[in-house]
Amino acid sequence: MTWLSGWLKEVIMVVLLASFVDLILPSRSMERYVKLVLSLLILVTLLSPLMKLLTEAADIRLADAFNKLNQTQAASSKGSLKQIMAQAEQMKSQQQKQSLEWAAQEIAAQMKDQIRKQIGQNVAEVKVVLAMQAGESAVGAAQNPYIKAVTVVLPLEEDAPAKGANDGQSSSNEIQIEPVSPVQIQVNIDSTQDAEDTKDSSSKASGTKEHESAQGKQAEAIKKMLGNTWGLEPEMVIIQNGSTVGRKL
Amino acid sequence: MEIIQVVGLGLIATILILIVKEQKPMFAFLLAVATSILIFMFLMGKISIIITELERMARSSGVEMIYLKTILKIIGIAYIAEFGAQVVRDAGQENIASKIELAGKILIMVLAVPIIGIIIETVLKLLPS
Repeated sequence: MTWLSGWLKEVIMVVLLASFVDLILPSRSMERYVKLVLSLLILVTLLSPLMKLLTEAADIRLADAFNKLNQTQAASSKGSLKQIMAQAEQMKSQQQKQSLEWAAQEIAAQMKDQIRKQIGQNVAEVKVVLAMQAGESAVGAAQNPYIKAVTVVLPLEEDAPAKGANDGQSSSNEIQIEPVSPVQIQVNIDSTQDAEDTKDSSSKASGTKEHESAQGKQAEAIKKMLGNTWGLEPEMVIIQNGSTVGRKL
Repeated sequence: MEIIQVVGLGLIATILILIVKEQKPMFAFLLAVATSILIFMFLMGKISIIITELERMARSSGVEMIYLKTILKIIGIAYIAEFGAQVVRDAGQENIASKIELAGKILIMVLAVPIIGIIIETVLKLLPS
């Protein structure tokens, strides 16, 4: 209903405005033209719900159209070199960003493959962040992309058997396990300490602890492998595992 | 009481013009132009009151600003074209005056082009192709 009242308000206001403008118009000669434009505006207002249904809102497109009109006028009158250069720069950076993104995707796919083949661990997702090296800028030397960070997300299904075992052990645990939300955690490099932590906090979930340490080892293996093959620092590789946190807490 | 000022100014200007016209038609024309500009300037303040009021109403009732802007542009174009055309017509240049009016009309039509485009597009979308 608010929609209807808003629309009605708009229509009434536009009609009022139009009649007002009609009154304060200076002369007869312009009248027909002004009336045409005003009636078109009223028509647009009347049709606006329909337009919203079919396309985007009329006022936005009208503003776009006017902007375009102004821009073409400005471009034809000036077409300043500076503006064009700025546009070119913008386009260039956009292109570079796109190509970087594409390269990152490719690298991520390769890494995923490697991890699966060499370590035998299924990986849910590999994210690679590429960045451009700030080279010797002035000469315009070819800038080299380098890998800024790698995030490996281990799959959740790895967890499923352990969960099942826990369920079998005690049914009361089930309530704690059930609302596991996929909070992401960064598995530390020293997996033994991590395991000890878990032992302290929850002694009964022994299966989890073993599982976790095994995953920590695997994470380390993944890190080592990626570091060797891609020439990465170990701290650039982040192994994420979505499953263990919920249990620890 | 502003209307009395305007009418008084107009009357005085007319009498002066009638007197001067015999000797120096050129000065008569300049006087007429100056008077019309004065009255126009005098009205500017009033027009601005009307426009701010219109803007306030539109904003409070949620009319899209682009509509109001279009309407105001139309009024502005109409007023200015009319003013220029009349001054030129007073000088006896009917030809140039009609050209000025033509320019005003075309500029108003340019404002209508995007609106027409949107309406036609919507209608075409409505019809099954």
